[in-house]
Amino acid sequence: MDTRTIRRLGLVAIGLLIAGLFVGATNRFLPKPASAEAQTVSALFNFMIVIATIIFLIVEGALLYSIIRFRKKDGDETDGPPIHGSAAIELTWTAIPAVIVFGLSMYSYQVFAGMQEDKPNTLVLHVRGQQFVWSFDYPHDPNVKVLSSAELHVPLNTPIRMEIEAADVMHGFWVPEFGVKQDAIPGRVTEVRFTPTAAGQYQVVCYELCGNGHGVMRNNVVVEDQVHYDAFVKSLEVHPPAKPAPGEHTAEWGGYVLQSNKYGCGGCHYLPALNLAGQVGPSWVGLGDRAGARVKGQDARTYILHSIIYPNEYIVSGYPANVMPQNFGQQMDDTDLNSIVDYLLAQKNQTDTATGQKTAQISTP
Amino acid sequence: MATTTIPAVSSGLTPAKRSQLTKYFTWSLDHKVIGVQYLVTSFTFFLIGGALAMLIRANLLTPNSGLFIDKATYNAVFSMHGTIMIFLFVIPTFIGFANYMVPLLIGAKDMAFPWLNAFSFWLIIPAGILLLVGWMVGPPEAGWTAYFPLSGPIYSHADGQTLWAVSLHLLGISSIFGAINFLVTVKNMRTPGMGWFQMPLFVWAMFATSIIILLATPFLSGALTLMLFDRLAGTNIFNPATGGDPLLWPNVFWFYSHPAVYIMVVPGMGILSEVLAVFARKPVFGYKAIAMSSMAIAILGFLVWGHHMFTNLAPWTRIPFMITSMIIAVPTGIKIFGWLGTIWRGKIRFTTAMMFALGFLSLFVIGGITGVLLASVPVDEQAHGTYFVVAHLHFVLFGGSVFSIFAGAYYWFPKITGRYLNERMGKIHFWITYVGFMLSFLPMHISGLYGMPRRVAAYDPKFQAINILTSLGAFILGVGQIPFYINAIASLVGGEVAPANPWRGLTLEWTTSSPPPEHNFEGTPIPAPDPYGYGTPEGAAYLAGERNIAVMTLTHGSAPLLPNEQPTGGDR
Repeated sequence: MDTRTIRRLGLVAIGLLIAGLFVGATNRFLPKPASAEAQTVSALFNFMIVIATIIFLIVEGALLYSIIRFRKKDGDETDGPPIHGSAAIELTWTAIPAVIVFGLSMYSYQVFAGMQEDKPNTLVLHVRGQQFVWSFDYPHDPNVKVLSSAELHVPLNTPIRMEIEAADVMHGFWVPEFGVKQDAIPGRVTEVRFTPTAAGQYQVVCYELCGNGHGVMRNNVVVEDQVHYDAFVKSLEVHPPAKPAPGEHTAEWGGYVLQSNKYGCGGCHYLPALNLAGQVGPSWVGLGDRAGARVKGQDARTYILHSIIYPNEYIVSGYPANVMPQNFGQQMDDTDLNSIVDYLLAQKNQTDTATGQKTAQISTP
Repeated sequence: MATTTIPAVSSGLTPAKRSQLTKYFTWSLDHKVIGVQYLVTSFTFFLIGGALAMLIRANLLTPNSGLFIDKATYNAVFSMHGTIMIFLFVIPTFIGFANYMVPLLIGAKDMAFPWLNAFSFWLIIPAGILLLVGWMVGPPEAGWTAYFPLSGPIYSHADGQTLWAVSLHLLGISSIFGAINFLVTVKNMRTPGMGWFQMPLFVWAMFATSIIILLATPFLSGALTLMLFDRLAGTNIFNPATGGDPLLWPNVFWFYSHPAVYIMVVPGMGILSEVLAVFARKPVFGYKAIAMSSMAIAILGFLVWGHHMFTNLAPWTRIPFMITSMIIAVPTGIKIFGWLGTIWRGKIRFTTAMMFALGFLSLFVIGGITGVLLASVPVDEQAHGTYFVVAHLHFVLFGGSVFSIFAGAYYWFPKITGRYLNERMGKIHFWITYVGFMLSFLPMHISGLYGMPRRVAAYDPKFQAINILTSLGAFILGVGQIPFYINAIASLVGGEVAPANPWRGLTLEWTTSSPPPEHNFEGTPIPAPDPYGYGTPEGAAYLAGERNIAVMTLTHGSAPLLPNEQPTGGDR
């Protein structure tokens, strides 16, 4: 190689490096990290993007250059030079990628090991995935009854270990801004660790196909300071009413069952009175007023009961069939089931506080 | 007699021409007929799978499902799309090309086991019908990966899921028989003078692919058998409630399905080597390295299945799979750089086949890079199960496999039919496909990393703009395939007549007429000393028809003559 070629190659190499570093430093391919883990993953990702950009430019550049420079000239019907290969060049492009992937494996391992480490003062939370909602449990005084929440609240800058369970099929726990994922697997308790570092509201998204409602299986996540977190957990404390004797049922008990999110109803249905914020299924506001008029010749009680046990029997217009699980008839005991119906029947003469369109639609079926 | 001649006359077909046509609808033992049967069948399924993709994209124009289909139908549509594209389009298309071309490329008169060959093809038809019948009895809705418990009897009670398993079982058996046939054919039926390292690279690719199919597909069969037990016989192998393990399914399924990714791309890499060398008029750069990298991918491909399970394997077991997955980048890199070396300083002819091959190169490298990102466990924790993976797999399987399929189609159509595909229409096809592809799949990387999971019928409204862009790209891509079908039919009837060797290629399929006679070659064909000897005096002499010179140089070759057998026909 003469000095001119070497100088040219040197310039190309410097250009590639600058381009790689530029893309690595300025890209917005990942959401803004909101956890310690997401920050280290982002650093790793951006490092990989530097190398990826350089390789991308080398390959596409050589390809484009060849397409322009080595196209057949008009009238030239001869063949190209019979070059069969070059041991030195082939060895180079075998060895360099091998070294790169070795380095990337080491770096990735380091990042992953850091994510798996036990950290002091770790707060252990619990999440349960079911078709198509998440429900969260928090550590609490064993003498006090505490509700599950449909919204995940976590304290800022506290290492969290999330224990994950699945009630029916596989689900996937993922908060994109936290940069960690873990499958929820029926029959196993899996775990994922993260330390939230930015206050704000995020979403926990299910990424493992779990049925018809997979796309709507998204719950809110709130990262807040310790004081607000403690207040939130405190607000979940309840003093349950006495459970009615077998064969009996009360609206009070039904409201308690719904509020405690025992069956995940609030993940999909909307009822501000109980803090249920679901937007997937029909709203329950004023349900007692219209349930009796929904199906001709059927009283309100039967209508609600059937809608729980056989959800596909009457589909409210505008809502898809097959989203609500069809096994509540087996899951709920009779007291719970009938108490829930009692409670819902009592939802009468309510002022519609919702601004959402759905509620308005439903009150005039 | 009258009854047979009258309709023939009225339709303008002579009895001879008619039998030419009807043989494609009958049980034929001719590998060329079987090859065409495979190709026509698979391109028909491409239309069905493509229509389903259009339905998916139409539905994702709005964040809340229900624009065209409800959520349950949506899940069925993408499950069918994946299954059809993989098992009834890409895999059988390559088997179709291989059926037609491998015997020709090695100078054989047919495959080693013609009866088995026909049987492999005729398993595809009932399998396809069974899958489609699933629509009428409640289609499968658990995705093409069919994870348990979702695909189990409790959560997928419709019979479509069972038919899906039976259909894939048949396709698996078809694949295994095909693989045995190719291995024996390549090993035993090369023409005298063709040593292992005189084999065209497409033959090497099919040899490697057949090893993968033979060793991997039995695991699919095993997994499907267990699925059928759970669904039909009341066993609880995958049911955690009674002691089964849902993670057994992805382990066994991916032990087949990751190698299956290579079943779908290694043959395409073989086609690429053929096309690039012929149209750059240069030898393949590093022939042995490219041949051996196919074998390396075949072996390494069995050690990486765990990277599909980075979010559910026990954490420490993810590390070895990360390392093996990263290593796959090395043989893949050897191929990509070797192809660049092939066109470098060549005299490139921009035929449609060449444009699809160059398009493959430009897209596959993106799929390769995102593959390395996904191989890193921590990065995968962001990208797993999202549209980033959808983008990655389409860059590999559409930008890679499908582009190479089209390169092969434009390259070999003159050999198969005796007529060229129209080049002008071909270039329109290429450009619409390329632009539509980019518009469709490039933005998906971003929506995925920002939090849009795959397989969702409804999504966060913040992703709507990117989804509209993707859908527009997909519609362009879909419309872009219509010129190909029109071109194929029009060229078949009235295309320009092609000579025996339209591209001045050195491989053996070009030494016989287009289309080839029933037993492929007149006499025993003599291969060129180097299948890619473009620019060499030997290559020029071989092309000029001076095969004796080729034979003379052959004696200087390093590989000894193998005692290859010619087909005796005893199998028939």
